[in-house]
Amino acid sequence: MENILNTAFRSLPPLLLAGLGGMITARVGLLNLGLEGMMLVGAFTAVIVNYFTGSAFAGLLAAILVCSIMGLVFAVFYLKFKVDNIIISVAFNMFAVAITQYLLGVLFGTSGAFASDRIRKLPEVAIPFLDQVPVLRALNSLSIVFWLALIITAVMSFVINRTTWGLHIRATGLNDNAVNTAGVNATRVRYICVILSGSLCGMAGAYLSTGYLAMFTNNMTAGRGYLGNIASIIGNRTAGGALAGSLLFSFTEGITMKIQTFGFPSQLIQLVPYLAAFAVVIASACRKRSRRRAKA
Amino acid sequence: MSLALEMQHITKIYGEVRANDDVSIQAAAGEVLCIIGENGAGKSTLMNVLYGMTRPDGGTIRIGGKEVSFRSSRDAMRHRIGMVFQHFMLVKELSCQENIIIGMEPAKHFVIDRKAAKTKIEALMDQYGMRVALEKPAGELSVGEQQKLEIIKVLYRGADIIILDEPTAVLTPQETAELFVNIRQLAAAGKTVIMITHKLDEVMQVADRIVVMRMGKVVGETKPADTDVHGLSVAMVGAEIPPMRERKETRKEKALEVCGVTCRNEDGIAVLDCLSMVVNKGEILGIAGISGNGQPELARVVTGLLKPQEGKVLLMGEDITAHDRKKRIQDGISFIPEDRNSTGACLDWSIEDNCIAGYQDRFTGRLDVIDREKARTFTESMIQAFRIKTPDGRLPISSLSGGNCQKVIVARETAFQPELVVAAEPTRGVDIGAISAIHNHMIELRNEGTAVLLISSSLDEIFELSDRIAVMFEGKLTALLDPKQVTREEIGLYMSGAKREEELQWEKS
Amino acid sequence: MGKIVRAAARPVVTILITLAIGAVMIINAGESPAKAYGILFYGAFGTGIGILNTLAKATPLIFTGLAAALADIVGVFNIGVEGQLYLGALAAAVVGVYAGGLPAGLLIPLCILAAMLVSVLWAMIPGYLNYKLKINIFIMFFMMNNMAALFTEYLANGPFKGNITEAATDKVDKAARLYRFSVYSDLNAGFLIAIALVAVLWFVLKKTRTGYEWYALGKNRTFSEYIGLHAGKKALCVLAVSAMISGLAGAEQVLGTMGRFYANFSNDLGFTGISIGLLAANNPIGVLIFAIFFGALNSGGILMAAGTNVPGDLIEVLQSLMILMVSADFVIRKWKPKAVKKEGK
Repeated sequence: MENILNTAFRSLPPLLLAGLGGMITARVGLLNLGLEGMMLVGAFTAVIVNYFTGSAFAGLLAAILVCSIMGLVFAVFYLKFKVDNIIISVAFNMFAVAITQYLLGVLFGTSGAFASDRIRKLPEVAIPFLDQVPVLRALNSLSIVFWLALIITAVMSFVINRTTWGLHIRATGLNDNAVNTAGVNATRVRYICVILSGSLCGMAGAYLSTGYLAMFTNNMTAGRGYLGNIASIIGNRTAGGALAGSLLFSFTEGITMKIQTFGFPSQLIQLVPYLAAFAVVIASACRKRSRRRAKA
Repeated sequence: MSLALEMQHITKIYGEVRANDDVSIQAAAGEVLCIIGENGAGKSTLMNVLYGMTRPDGGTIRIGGKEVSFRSSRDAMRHRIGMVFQHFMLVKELSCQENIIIGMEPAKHFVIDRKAAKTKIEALMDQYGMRVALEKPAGELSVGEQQKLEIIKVLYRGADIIILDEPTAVLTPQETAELFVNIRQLAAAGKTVIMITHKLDEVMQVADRIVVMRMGKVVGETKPADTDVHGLSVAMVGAEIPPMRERKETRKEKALEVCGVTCRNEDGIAVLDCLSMVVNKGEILGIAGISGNGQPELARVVTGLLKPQEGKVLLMGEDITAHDRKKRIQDGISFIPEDRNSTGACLDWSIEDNCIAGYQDRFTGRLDVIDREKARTFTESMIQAFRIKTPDGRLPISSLSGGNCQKVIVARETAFQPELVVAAEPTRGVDIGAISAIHNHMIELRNEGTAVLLISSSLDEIFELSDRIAVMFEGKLTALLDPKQVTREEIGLYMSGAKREEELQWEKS
Repeated sequence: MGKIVRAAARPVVTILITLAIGAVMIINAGESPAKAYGILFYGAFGTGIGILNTLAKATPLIFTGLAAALADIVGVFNIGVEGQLYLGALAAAVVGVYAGGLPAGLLIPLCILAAMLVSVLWAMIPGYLNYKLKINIFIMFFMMNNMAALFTEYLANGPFKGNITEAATDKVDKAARLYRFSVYSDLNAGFLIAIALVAVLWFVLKKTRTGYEWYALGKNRTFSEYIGLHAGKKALCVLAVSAMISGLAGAEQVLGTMGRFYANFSNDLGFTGISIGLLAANNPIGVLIFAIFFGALNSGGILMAAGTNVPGDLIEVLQSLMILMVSADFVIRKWKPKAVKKEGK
């Protein structure tokens, strides 16, 4: 049980951060499927900067910075050039896989994976007395990013619900005409949100490559960006909902890890979160439909 | 009284159309100024200029004597101008309070001070005697309340000049009366209210001063005491109500029958409420009504684009309720839709491709191949018959002016001897030349024995073309009238729901 | 003639810009662009075998490019090509292995039909859910691409695992193999099928009523319903046709190129197809040209990676940049003056 919990908590941060990134862009009316690619670039950047500076935090910050810039590029193509967001996402995700592989080859002459003793891990937070508590023990020695992600969730929830920015964000996705005529620049709100989703992905990526591992492998995000998107959808585009959605996925992952040790085919286990996502998406769509029916 | 607002020599040109041509108006503080004119007279353009949404090609604006220039509506807001749009700018999912404060939130360190906001809004609501439930989502308010919310929103932003764009178009008579009380209160408090409308009786009730616009120009200025509805309508239309067109006697034989059709929208509201009607061969039935009473849905049900939950549709005695759109095109129901840009034409396509749209089967030969030769000949004949101004039918339809584009649609929809033509707003946003061409053509069709269902928000059009007029109100037909005997005022009563007939006598005429 | 020049100008400029970016990257990798591109060109077109290899690499891309283009024409944007291709490939392999012994004239069509059928079924899951429940189709496509890769890997590693160490099926029956033009190249009869498909689709799109209606659907849904189409159903049908072509791509890879199904063999054939569709502005002949261009990059890229210090991944970097470039090019189209706006009211 504790094992499952621990695995779940360890796999939570990238899902949650991507979920928040998906949530914040969904709030302004944009389905950002490029989270996957941004996260991968984030993971790569963190490892590289980490390797050359010997600082995990430098890696983390660099990942956030680079991914924010990617977010800005996404926003420029989407908002200024009016390119379809799916097209940008396809290009971003392809680009991320290719450029990380390419740079791995150019910089280190390797392909597939890169690990080194010089890569530091992000610090873990040890809570001394927790070791004595049976179930909660799973919360001990989790990466600092885990706790950061939870704090960010709370902060985002507060910002969205209680502040002026939050009001602008909420209104922009629902009716940007109303927002513009009220004297708020909806486009600027969108820019900020897309860039922010990039920053969150950067953090998620840095965690993936320097959180518990200290290595980069090709395509190591393995669909987590998409799962983050789905978590935000399941969570009805709220910060708390994104947390709930990503918990669902991380627990699936925790449980499957456990079953895997009994020799169950790993691919089938990896399919489970997707099936869960499908179930949730279909259920919520059915609910929406029946509510519409009931009204009519 | 000092002048709160002066607009001088405003000119705005769209392509070949002078939407505003040397327009000058002024308004004082505490005054209610009504700008009247028909659809396309340039009222909305003028207000968009004033609210900074459109930049004029010429002219000046002065606020409180100082010349200003607006690059966006934010600039206009800064100069204490507020606008209530015909289509409300509300976020339906957010609470009324949030809708009011957005963009001007009272806040400490970016955290919204809800209490301060509430106090301020409450004070405003007390002062002007307008109340809405602040905690409710805006979408749950009635239309009238939503409008109040919009006005409060404008007041909250400190507006001294308040523009109301067709504020009564969607209101019930009671709501309208209430709105006018509110408007008077605003004026009494020293605000300048500019209301644009084309409803003359309302203007007589509420205006201090009236400016009449026609074809982009100011054609008159008067006070309610110096005129009456008739006088205004003459000024607005430019002449007496147009006479009914000459027409031939035709056989009365039922073409379209609609029996007890009910249609509910997603919210469960009956947009068509057990509606029945008959259109005869060789007759133009005009449907008059304020927009938002189910006219588009009626057109869509008849043409097969919308399935009614209840009721039947018959064409020449045959039940076609189950026929889909394609089948109904084959049945001979053609449709001139109200929105030519999004429905009636494919703007990315050539005139030729648009000319065969909906009738592509007729141009298809062996192996499913479209006979381009036939299509070209057909297009050329349409271009000639309707004097569509274009050098080549293979040019994109977006190269045509609005009037010529509409002519393409009318030409196509009437080319294949339809049994019934449903014409929704057939001349909206179209120049005078095209209007008269389209009207002539519809009379011709009628004389040849085609049934025409005309749905229009322009009463002039209804009067000019219709053999009979039915009035639509809240998803029902509430009157069946003879255009030769009815007055505008009387139709107005039916349109506003103030009057209705119990049972319509479809057979009598 | 001027029309062709104008149509070609856009992608050609795109290609030149990306090649220039690629040159900068090659210099960064410590090589001379002239040398690297020279090897690339020689590898792609310099020898008879090179040309055959280029066409062999182009073949699956023609299919996936057509699949993407077709769906995009009706406004569906099938980003699920990748997953559909996996399912189709596996189906072809399974039939090819387990129905061995049948004569070629029967077995090959059977394999291809199975591939198309399974691909269509796979694509109809998100298609139908979108049609009935309005669930966002792109999320489903994206998820199902990953699911398809995982699922086929499981099948190739479990129930259908062949006598081989990798996750792969057995070799398909000899009778199921498509005719090869040369023992030195993978180029096979699938290329001819692809060419035929280009011709057929070009005809359908440009000449027939079906094509007319498909374009209407993609340009403007309201309009397409107005002219008598069942927009939702029709789009679903076209998605099915698109999936069929994706399945064909999979079948060609198995029956023509690989001889068996290998797990995760695709390496973005689907996504590359999507970018080809975009580059070609959904024109079938354009798809053919760009597929051959990409095929040349791939076949020449192998030689370039071997002969220089430039990793072969450069090719994919360039391909993804091309997608963004093309979409930036959309902008220029948008800037063209639209019809004069008339006052609405």
